[in-house]
Amino acid sequence: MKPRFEWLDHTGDVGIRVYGRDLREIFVYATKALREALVSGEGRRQKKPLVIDLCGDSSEILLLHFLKEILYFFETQKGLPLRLDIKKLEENHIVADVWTDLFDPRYHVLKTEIKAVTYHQLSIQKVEQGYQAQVIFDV
Amino acid sequence: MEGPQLEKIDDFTWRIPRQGPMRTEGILFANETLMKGIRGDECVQQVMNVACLPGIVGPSIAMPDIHWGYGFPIGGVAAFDSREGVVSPGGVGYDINCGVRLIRTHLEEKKVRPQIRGLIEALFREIPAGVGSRRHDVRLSVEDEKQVLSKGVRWAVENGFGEAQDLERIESHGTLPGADPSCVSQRSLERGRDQLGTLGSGNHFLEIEVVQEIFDLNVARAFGLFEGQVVVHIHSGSRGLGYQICDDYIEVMLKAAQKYKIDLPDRQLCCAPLASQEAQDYLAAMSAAANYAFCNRQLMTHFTRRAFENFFKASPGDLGMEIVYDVAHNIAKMEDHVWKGEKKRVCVHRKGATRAFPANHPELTAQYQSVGQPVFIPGDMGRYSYVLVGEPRAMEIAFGSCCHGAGRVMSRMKAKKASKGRNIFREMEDRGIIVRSQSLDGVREEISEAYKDVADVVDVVHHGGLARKVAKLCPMGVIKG
Repeated sequence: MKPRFEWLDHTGDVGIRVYGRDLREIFVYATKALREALVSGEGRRQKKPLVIDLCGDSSEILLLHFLKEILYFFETQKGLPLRLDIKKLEENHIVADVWTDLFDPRYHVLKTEIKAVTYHQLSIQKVEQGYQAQVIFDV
Repeated sequence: MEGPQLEKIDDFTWRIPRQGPMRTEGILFANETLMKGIRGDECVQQVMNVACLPGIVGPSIAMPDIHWGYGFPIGGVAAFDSREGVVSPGGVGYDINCGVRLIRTHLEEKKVRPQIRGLIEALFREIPAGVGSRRHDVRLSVEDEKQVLSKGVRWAVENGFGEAQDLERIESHGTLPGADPSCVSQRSLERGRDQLGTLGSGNHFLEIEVVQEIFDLNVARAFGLFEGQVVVHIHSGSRGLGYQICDDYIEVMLKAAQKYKIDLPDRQLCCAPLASQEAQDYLAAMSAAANYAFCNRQLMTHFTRRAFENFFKASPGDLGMEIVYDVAHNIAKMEDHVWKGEKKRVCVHRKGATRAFPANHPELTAQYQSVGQPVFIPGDMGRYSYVLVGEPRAMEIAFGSCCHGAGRVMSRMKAKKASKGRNIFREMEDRGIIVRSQSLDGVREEISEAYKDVADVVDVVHHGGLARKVAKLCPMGVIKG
């Protein structure tokens, strides 16, 4: 089976290409990729879930805003996304609980500082087996 | 890949002729060697895209360290008319007022080199570095943080993190006017609160360097530099606060571009007319982030001075740790320029480009009036960096700007692959350079071969007349983010 996401080569930055059978999988694997870009390892302490209820003009903009929320939660609360509980997902609306573990230098290794999730070459496309998305992070 | 046609003007200048929706031509500063990497790269298209924006004055300019960015290329300069032009957060970048500061000392290489490992450890303890680095001893109250945003380095000096004379040796005296904390979101404030005085990660660094070669004795003297001297070079920016401000205003500008019916060849070029409320709010928030960044480098200067004083058990007077200068390389500023004989008020975007004003420019501090503005061009951690001085031609052809660094040639992924199985710390040590970092990955991404040779880049601005070489600096100790 094809890996669910892959890293893109971009001179200054880090990009991901995500594959999913449906939009739900795109959000799940994009979140997983964001986590893997940020850290390796898994913490012992879990935080209360981050509750996300977001709208966007399109599915790609929704994904961008969703990843931004997760990044902001990490930056300010040190919570890292562990598992997604998507309660509702439409082209322009997502309601989800993001279960997170608390960053702890004893268990995690920080990898990359992601400054932002960018609009640069942002896309979600329908493909034969489902969907394919692309996101570039500014690092 | 076949790119657009590039016309050679002279050995250091290339033209991208105006075509399609471009409102002006593109000008690229590079030599034949650098052109090999630039031709066919997407960054050339980005120079052309910037040329499509309303109110652009003069060409869309690219420096020799150009590489692919978002919307605007990194290494891009563009000036926009204050009445008809626009401002774009993408023309500044996420790390607002990312910049470089050089601090000189009275110390010489022969005294410091035998103790470099201990000195780097002392600095590493004083200055948090790495992903999401935070300070626990300088956690700002909401009110303090707003003061930092309004006052910049003046806040630091008032609070014991520097001397009044430090202000004279910082671009815009360390405070951009017009900064308004009320234009900065709560999220930005929150991200910035405990990051003041921290290095961050990526290509940010603090280096102990030695002045290896002087090219212009007269100017070097004016900058207080001499051969064999130990200097400290700091590269950092506005940390999470700046990233969030850019992010917030990209959203504002996407809506503004629609509202003002501006055609965008790329969403990351989103912008608003300079006269609009959206543009004024962005400039007020960007200036606040710029002040935070100046202040960030000031706090790191303070903790560097403290580390040196403790380590060498010497007084500040003995060490002579004075700032040579501090320059921004990600910023948009309202400036007066003469273009084709006409005096114009323009908003100069420098994204990965350094201001390089020549002698007698009214914005320069008195002590540099007769020589020109110091310009610092860091290279990769294993080679060298340069000190230059702004030249009159920079005003004539590049809105008083020059390049900002070496420029990456290898992606972070490729650099990690290239360094797999190698002990980079040992390799650097063999070259006489001690490296300290929180992150092994971070160091592997920063290997020398991931960058162009900064000497090539500097040669172009030197021979092209943008800035003149003054001194070459070689690293002895490096703290990487």
